[in-house]
Amino acid sequence: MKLLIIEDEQALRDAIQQYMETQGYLCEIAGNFKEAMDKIDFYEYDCILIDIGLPMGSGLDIVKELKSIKSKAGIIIISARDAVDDKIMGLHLGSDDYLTKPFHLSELNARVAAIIRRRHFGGEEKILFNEIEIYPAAKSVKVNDKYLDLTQKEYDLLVYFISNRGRLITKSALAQHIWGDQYDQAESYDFLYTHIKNLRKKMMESGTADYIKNIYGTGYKFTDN
Amino acid sequence: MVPAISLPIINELLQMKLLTRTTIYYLLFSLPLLLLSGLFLYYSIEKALQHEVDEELENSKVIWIQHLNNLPADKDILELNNPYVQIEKTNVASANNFYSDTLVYEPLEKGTDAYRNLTVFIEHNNQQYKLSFQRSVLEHQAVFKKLIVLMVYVFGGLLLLFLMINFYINKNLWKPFNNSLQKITTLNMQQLQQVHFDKVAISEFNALNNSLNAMTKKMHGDYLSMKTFTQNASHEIQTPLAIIQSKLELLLQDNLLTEQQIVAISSAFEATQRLSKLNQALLLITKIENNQFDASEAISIKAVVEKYQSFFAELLDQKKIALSIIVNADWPLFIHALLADMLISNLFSNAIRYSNQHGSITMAINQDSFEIINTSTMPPITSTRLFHRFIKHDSATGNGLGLAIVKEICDTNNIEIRYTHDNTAHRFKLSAS
Repeated sequence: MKLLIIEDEQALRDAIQQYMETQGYLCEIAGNFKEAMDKIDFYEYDCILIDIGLPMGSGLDIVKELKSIKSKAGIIIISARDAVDDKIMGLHLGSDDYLTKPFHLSELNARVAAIIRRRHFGGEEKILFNEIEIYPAAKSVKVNDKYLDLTQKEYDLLVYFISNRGRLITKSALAQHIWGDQYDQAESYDFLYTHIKNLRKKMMESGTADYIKNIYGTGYKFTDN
Repeated sequence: MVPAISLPIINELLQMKLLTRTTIYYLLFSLPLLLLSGLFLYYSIEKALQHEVDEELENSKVIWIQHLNNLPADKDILELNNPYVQIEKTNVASANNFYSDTLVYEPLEKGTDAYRNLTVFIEHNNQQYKLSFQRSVLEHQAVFKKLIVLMVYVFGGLLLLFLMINFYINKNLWKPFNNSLQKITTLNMQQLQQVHFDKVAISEFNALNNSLNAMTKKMHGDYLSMKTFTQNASHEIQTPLAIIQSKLELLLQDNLLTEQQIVAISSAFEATQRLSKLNQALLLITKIENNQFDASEAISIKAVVEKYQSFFAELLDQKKIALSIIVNADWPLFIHALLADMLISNLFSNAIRYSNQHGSITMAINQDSFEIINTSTMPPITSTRLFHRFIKHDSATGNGLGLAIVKEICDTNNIEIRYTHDNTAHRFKLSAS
């Protein structure tokens, strides 16, 4: 899977590249508008991350260009501005998703994975992890061929964990993923623990191994080793 | 021109319009003056009229005495008695003449009339006589009465006229001042208006307007630059924060880290999260202040409340808070959808945050108001701290901006917000203003 990261802040670009490469993506980078336009005209990508504020142009124009050349790439806009208008404009122009800086790399990864899944397999593809099968279109989960009954939030957590398998996911990333920007309205992570505890219990009762590891109270790692 | 009534308390009690006060002072001065001059005129006229009567009596006396002197010595002058002069013998030796006022019975009118009387003592034929000249003052009294009535009318009319002139002059003189006052009291810096105070014909007011122009221009400029600064600073902070956060997240993936290192990185990571949230909240307040959220449609408060009811269900559950929502009528509030969400969610989460375990939250939606009441053993919020930024009422994890955001939304959308506290009930009430 090939990604193009269009971001003018080198440090941030490097961090995204490094994280995504360990997830098995092939990453290319562009640091300004012109470089980005050159690349999208010559190469094809599965997903493109676009920063709106770029030297020499706007990320929104890149989205327009991608639409005009009928690119099949998924598009995620990254912006330091959380202006509602920008978001609507971006989505209106045809981007698939919108992330506001600062964001969690695990969140970015999960969104890229979801877009690629939708684009390439129309959501028909199942996500596999050892004995666990997830069918995103139906939002159903099978363990050893038996359906696992999960709540919406438990399902979201499981997909997020598997998208970021083997990575340490912070509590705040998990909370933000399932409650959105308003998770800070909540007082503590207690309710997050409850959901994870329930998910873990259901999974183990259905016969999976204990994949969800708590890492010193700072976050979780979904791993089979 | 202002009398000694200048004690602060009295001034506070007598708070009134400049025009009213000028009129009152005018009346205070002119009424006694008019009264005094009225009295003076009254006595002067009365005296003049009496002088007139006395003069007539004196004339009669002179004529009569002349007449008596010309009579033969043996003539009995008592025969000369008539209604205008009474002559009688007296034993009193020549005394001084004197005037007096008497009442005389008038048989025709069956009443008494006032008369002026001059008593004169003369000697005729070695006999002392007392002559009394009388003259009715009825006529003069009638004239006097008419004069008084006329005087009252003239004085009253003058007073009224002067009051009106005074009122008119003052109203016009102070017009430029009142215009400026009106402008400055309705001035809303947040609506980014640049106001201008016009040139006027009175130099003092012109000087005032010039100073006001200079002041508001400076304030407006400062406000604009502060606003731009806040917004730009907030934006610029987001990118370095994104870098710190992503680098820390990457660092956490290192398998060789010790527990201590992971915990340290993680708390640094949490801190950047807080900083970022704080920054976003400040940016949001700035945007609300700048009216960057235009209302385009009426939002159903009932729908927003229901949305957050399910959103906060887990939190309510966790604290075992009993929630009751009373919908008397929906409140269609003309506001940006995002602000409606912020308003309700901030008040809601605030209520949850400060509720005790097993507490209760009650919400009431009415046609033009929304109320949220939570029970808490926390002391009431003092009004000086109520909507201030960064005020936390315990060590809870909020950033202390929730209520400040609520207040800002209310201020920019014509919503009145009131906080009351009763025993353990903390109540916030929003109403259309």
